[in-house]
Amino acid sequence: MRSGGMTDKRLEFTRFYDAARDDCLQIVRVAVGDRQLAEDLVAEAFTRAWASWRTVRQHPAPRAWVVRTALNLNVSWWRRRRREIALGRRDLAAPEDAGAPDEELLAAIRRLPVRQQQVIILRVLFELDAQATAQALGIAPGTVGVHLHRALAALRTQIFIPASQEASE
Amino acid sequence: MTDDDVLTAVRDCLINACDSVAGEQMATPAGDIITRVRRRRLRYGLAAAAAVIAAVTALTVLPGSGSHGGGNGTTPVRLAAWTVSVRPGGGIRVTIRDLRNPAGLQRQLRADGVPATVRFTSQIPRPCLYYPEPARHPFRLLDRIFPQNSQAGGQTVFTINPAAIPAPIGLWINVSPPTAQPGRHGRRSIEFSASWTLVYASGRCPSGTPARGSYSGGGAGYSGEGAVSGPGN
Repeated sequence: MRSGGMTDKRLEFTRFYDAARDDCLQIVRVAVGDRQLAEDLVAEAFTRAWASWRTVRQHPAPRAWVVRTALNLNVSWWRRRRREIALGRRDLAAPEDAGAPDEELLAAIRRLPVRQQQVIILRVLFELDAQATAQALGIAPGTVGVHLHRALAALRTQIFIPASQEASE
Repeated sequence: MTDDDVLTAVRDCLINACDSVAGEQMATPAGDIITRVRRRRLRYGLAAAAAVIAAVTALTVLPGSGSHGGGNGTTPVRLAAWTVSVRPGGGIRVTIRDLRNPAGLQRQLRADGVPATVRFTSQIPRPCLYYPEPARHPFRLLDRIFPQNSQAGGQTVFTINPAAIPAPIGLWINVSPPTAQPGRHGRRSIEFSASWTLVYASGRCPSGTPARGSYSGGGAGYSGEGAVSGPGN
């Protein structure tokens, strides 16, 4: 029955939305660093998910699809922000307070090119392997490896390791 | 420091960051998301509907004029307000000069194998008649069914490929009401546009509850200025 199918589809999407929306919001919030922007991006990404629900529901990682879409929507904003940050003076010295290294690294993750950022998030937060990440992003598995390697190389300089730990290594 | 070390640090950082915003929740209800999609589809459908309506008014079907020769591709049936002709490849070429006699155009198209419903107002089909959009590449089907459309020389022309229309699908062709405007050389002109929406060919709801999906073409970028011809016969 078509009407039943439509109702089921809507119910299915609503369940997915209710279960996934906060997780997606929080991940995008971390990635973009702005609460309202994250809300707008995720809402638009879910809107597109509903518009293409027959495709998205069969996706191996629908939440990853939503987050990827939200981050893609953020590309232009992200590029502007990267330019703004590049124009500002940054102090690369390791902060003294305990929370600072994370902030520095988080800021560096936010400055990554969007594709590298997506790979990091899908691999780390969604725990997708290279094949699933490639499928979610529509790129080759080898390309995932390249983006990951480049992202880690860029982030390496931002990781603060306490002197005592370095000495012991 | 190896890649694994960096990855571990990145993982810890992201997990800590997510934990720090764990209490944040989406303020947008699911109903708003669903409504957004419905509104967008309706907007597009109306724009599209406003578009073809203009294309079809025409005519008066002349008794005995009959349908143009099914498939010989050489002898179009020329009517006062529109012309329908079968091209050598099987495509149905529709040329509209005036918005008259939608029923005649509908009959002509159906006689040529196109399950079309033609209207000259901004009517849209009942929601239950909408054919749901394909999951992938929703507009490719429309592009195959309507491979060409253009307007020139005071007329709107579009081609329908009947072979590209899957079995349950019908075409809802709308032509927008013309708006008379001053034209060149003292002639009146009309602004018209055409749109098409995929519906169920049966013309009946396949079930009791309205379906939600639909997709339409035409509309934006498909409007033209047509010279007003004389009244149809």
